[in-house]
Amino acid sequence: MNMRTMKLRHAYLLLACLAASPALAQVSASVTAGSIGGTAQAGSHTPPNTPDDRVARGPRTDDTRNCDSRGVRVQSGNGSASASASASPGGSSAVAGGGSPGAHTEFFGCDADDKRSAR
Amino acid sequence: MKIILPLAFALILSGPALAQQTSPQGSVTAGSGGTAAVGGNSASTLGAGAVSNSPNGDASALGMGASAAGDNTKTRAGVHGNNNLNGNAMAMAHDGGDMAKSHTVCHDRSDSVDCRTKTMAHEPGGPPVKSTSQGEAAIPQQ
Repeated sequence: MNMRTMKLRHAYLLLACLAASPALAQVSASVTAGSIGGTAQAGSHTPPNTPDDRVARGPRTDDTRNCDSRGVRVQSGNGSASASASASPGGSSAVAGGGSPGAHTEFFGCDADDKRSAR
Repeated sequence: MKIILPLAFALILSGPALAQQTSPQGSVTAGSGGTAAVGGNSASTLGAGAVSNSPNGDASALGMGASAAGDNTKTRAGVHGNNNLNGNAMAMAHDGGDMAKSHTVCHDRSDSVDCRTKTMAHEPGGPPVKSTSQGEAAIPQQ
């Protein structure tokens, strides 16, 4: 293999990386207000953490009592969009999340098991 | 000929309807939040949304949160919809006189995210203090 061939291969590799970069570009937003915080990410193609591909909606919002903390995380089916919201302890709080069909929604904090909704 | 001409005209008219609509490719996120506080009452709400359109498929996610502290509190949050998501979060705290309130509304559409938060704090005898914050982002059309 001569030097010219190696340079050419590196050039193709560079071109492949440049072509893939727009698809891999990731954008995010973080919001904080008082004792709650939220984030949203889009563009990353990380696979979902769980194989649960059912559409998730929720949560019940009738239970807003004080608890250690409360949060929700939503991840789209293909992993390219996610959003989360969480509330610190103190007072009453409510969180909700949803996504496009196939998204997975998971709740954290007190009564997380009861409030986990996936259908 | 009498049949062909109207048929051709109808096909031309139906062309745009038959054309496949595709969302612009790209990713955007946006969010907004706010807090109102007066006396010993505070109310906070926020929302954060993401939309991603790629050859692998279109996806969206929306998270909403509400929190309130004080003598009497009320919080509520919800997300509805499928491909177009609508989110609401509301928090209120009052003690019979002072009142703090915050409300956030978010919309995840096929190519954009829009969140808006309004807050209000009120003391008896004084005017309400209001504020609005907004975060929006759209995938540029190619």
